[in-house]
Amino acid sequence: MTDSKSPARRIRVGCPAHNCGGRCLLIAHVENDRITRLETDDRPDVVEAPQLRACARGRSYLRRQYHPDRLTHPLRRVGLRGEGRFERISWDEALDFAANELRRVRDTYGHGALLIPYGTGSYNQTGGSGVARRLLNLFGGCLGIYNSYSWGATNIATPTVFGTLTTGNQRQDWLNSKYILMWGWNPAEMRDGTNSDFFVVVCIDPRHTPSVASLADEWVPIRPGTDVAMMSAMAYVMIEEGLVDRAFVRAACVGFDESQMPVPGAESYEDYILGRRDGVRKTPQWAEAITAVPSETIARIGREYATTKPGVLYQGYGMQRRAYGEQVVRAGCVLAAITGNVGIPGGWASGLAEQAPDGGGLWNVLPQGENPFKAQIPCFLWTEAVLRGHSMTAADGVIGAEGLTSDVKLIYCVASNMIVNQHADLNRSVAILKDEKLVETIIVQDNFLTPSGRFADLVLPACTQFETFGVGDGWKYGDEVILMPQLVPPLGETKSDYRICAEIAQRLGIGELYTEGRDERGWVEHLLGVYRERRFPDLPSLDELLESNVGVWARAVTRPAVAFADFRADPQAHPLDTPSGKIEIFSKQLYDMERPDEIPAVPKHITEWESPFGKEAQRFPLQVIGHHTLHRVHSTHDNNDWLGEAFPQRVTMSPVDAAARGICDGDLVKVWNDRGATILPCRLTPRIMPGVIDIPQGAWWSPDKQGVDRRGSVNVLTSHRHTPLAFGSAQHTIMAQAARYEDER
Amino acid sequence: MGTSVVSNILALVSVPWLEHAFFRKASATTALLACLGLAVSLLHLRRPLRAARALSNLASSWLSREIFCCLAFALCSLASAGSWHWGIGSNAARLALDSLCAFWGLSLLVCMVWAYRLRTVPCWNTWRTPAAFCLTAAVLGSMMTRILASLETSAAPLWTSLASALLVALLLVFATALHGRATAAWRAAAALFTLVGPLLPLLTSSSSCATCAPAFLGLCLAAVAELRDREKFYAIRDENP
Amino acid sequence: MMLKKGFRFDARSCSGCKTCQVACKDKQGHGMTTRFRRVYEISGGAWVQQGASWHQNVFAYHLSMSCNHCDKPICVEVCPSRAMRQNEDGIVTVDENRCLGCGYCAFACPYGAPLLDLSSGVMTKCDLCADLLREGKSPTCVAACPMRALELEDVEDLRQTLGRGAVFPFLQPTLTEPNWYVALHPDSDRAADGQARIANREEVEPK
Repeated sequence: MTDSKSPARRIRVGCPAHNCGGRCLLIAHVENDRITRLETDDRPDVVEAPQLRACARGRSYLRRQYHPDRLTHPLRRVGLRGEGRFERISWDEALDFAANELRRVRDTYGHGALLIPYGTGSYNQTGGSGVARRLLNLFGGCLGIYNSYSWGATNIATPTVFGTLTTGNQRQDWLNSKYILMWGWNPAEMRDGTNSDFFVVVCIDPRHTPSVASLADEWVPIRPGTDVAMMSAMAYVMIEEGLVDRAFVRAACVGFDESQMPVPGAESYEDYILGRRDGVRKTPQWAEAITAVPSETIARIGREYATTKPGVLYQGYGMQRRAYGEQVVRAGCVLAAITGNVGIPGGWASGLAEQAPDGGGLWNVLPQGENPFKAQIPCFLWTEAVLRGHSMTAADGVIGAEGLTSDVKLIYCVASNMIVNQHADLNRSVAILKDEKLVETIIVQDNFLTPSGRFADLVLPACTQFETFGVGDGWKYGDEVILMPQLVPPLGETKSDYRICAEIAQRLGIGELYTEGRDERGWVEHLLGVYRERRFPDLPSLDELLESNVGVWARAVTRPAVAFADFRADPQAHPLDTPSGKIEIFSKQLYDMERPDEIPAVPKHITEWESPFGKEAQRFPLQVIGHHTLHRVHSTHDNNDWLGEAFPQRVTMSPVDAAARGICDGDLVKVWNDRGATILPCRLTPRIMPGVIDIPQGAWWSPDKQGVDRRGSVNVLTSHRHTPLAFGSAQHTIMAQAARYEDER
Repeated sequence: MGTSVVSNILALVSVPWLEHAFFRKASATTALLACLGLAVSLLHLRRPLRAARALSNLASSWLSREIFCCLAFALCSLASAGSWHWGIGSNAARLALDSLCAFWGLSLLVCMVWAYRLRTVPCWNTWRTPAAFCLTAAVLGSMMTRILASLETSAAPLWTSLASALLVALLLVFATALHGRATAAWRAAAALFTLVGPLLPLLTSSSSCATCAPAFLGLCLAAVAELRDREKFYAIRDENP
Repeated sequence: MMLKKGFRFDARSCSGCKTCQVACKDKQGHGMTTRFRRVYEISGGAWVQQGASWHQNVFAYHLSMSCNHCDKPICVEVCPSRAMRQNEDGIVTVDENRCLGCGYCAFACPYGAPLLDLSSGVMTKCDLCADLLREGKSPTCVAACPMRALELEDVEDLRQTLGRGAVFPFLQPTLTEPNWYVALHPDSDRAADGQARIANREEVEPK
């Protein structure tokens, strides 16, 4: 694309879009078709439009870009599936194979046998699973998926309270707050945070996270999976001490007490908290026994949050990837509501918190077309669709049709490490995939031979996002459009996700339909038009953006929008999109499901199916969490050596638990339960609560000869049991045991 | 290097009791060890061809000064060895040369101490550094002297000398082993051997105990100091006061 | 000549994200192991169980550390070949043509700044991104910090407002007068009292 003797150019480019929760800007130095250096955003740095400074992952991207293990040509499996033996084939052979298999499986089993699993390895609008979905939709459809691995429970539970997912104020509004409860929220490892001397920040988390160290005034460690107990006890204190914002509750909520019940005589939130039906008052003492948080701390935090206004209770998403994840989402929203923090500057409604006023970022702007095959499954239940798809119904979360007509027989995995590494109960997934009678064809398209790639029948080498044209926006906080001009030609024989899909489309006879005559750059031009039309009328054209080399186009936020401001001002005139038009502390929808034990109508603490309180704790006494580490974006970057040097993969353990097991800092530790085992070095630190161990999620599964993982891939321990309402991931609900591991060598 | 310095000093002190043959061997050993020391010091340079530049900073670097002294010492010891071997000059002149040699040896010791006693390295910046260095030099020097002397006395059979040499070598090996992050058992064994090992040749030798006594006392003190320092060298700098 | 602008480091805001470390490696074209900038994790505190609840006094803070281009650079003082020198502008650099690779500067430096470059056999160290400074830009680490915890500011002002960094686990700054001015984390006092340790030693020590 460039003259081989061209001088170095500095090109502003969006940081390759994986699913990190942020979107940043890089300045790439390009010399002789090679990227030599990466700087970051150098625009003026102001609160209204802050610099989008890339983190260590973005700054070390060249170690990924020029990693010796990059796939450079198509591969076809020659050994047993999962054995990892492949032969090099030509693109023609590869694309013919893909097209023929798509046709064969469709003809034999129907469109419902084709699946593109959830995957976020490329969140670039012109790449990743989105372009493959467009292909299969135009091909006649495939089994649909809905919901998310990240925030399955929040996605479904938030609207049961507020009727929308747009519950967040614009982030600049945090500066208006006086009290911020970061509940299981760790932006220092996840995405942009804030810091100020003007408000109090309390972090509630089993880990003393980097966010605690750099943002918080106080750390309240809490036993994982018991957050609702603490929230309930805080509500108890508010009720007993008259701290509930009664006026707001009367005007804007239903279900708080018996005076406003959508179902007369049903148990109200106040009934639950005061134990009028179950005989258990949800006192701080009651919560202390469950959460391990001292009762006086619970009471104090309750008082502080209720009286230091405006206040934010920001919910992280880790705690809803748990057994009854819906409850913690609803409970947090209820606390925001009964303290009157909804709809005011400096307040926060909790829940999913897409950005006001319009929902923020546009998740998919590339037109994917409509899926002619109407049935959809929850994305987390894909293994069920492999094993027993033909018998799945609404009871299994199927929507769009009464049930499925066939099992999944072909998996086309694009920029996704989901089928092995990232799905729950890894050893189970592997056993399913190894059985070639179940899934007959697996196609994996990626930059590297990931653990999922090892199980492919056909591996298609995709170029990186630096090697094609792309575009994205500011993710959840979408006040920016970020351009990703092609910097260098694709490595080896690699092609962009879009190009690969376009060439398969051609073989399926839908080439023109697929491309509409556009290449990647053409689509970016088109997609800028979509952004212009839907959010940013002043957005310049592609040529203008390239010419000015700005990389990012930002709209300054001078007056941060506040979610539910209209509703707050006049609940009658601006009703919510809930059945009652109000904030539903009690949800009649949920009540009508008649599953009060797992899906109560008011948010309740429910003991998890694996917990320190069950009999399973006798054999597996440790709770395992798998936090998002700065080493990776999920499983992307696991092979980035600079990040491995900076953030070594280790199991983090309290010295209290280690002493009981004779484990010293740095020892190899085996962590196991009935589903699997992993062996990795440990780090002893007081920065994690006793009884809890942490294995950062996303490490690439690396089985030894005995099949035991040696890299710390937490999903060998996780369970595929889903949350009851959202059919979402509950991967953080794990019990396990740990011991010092003596190598046989 | 400390070995040869003190062997020289002791040699000087011991003049009345020692003979010409001893000085021949002692000065040759000193020269050999001094040159060996210089050569070995080149090995840890990544760019040994630039070694001459190490003398560039006599104004402020104790390392430059140390190397200067080392060079002077090596040259003097070579001259001394030559004069003893070929019988050049009078006894008095040769002893004067030996005194100069000892002077540079002592200067070397002083520079070495200051090269380690940096204000920014707390674990070395203590009185124990000069104490340890001087004692180590005294002990190793006297050991060497004792061995060389025993070669000259028919009273001590040759095997005790060989055993002495072997044990001194082992002492150094074990002292080096203590540098590394060894296991507790290995450390204990090495410590024990470091303390006891060097005593063996002294006990097996039948020659006068008078010359051995100060060496023995020094050895014990030095061994303790040496052990402590090995420990400290690899202990974490910033966690020391 | 002394440095005009020195590092302002806010230990209260640093999250230990190591973007400075990685961005520096990218700027310098380093491979593995060479790290001009490193981030220390200091932590301490203990847990006590009382009935059903756990009580703790755990704390942690992070320190980003590189060469501080000291006003009394001991590396320059001790270098036997005078390869280490302080330039007119106060920046301390290695003359790669003079260096013997003896490593004595690394022994002397209380901040672990000089590192041995295994490929060339000479010492190498941070030069404050002198090339960027000449272009009027910030050093890479400063421009990288997502938390805005690291800045390059006028040393006269920094001396008035913050003072040189006197914080565990580092030595008293009077020894070399580093141009590293630190807004202390509130728990620094506890660390100074011996309640803390370096928690990530293998991530910061030279290999």
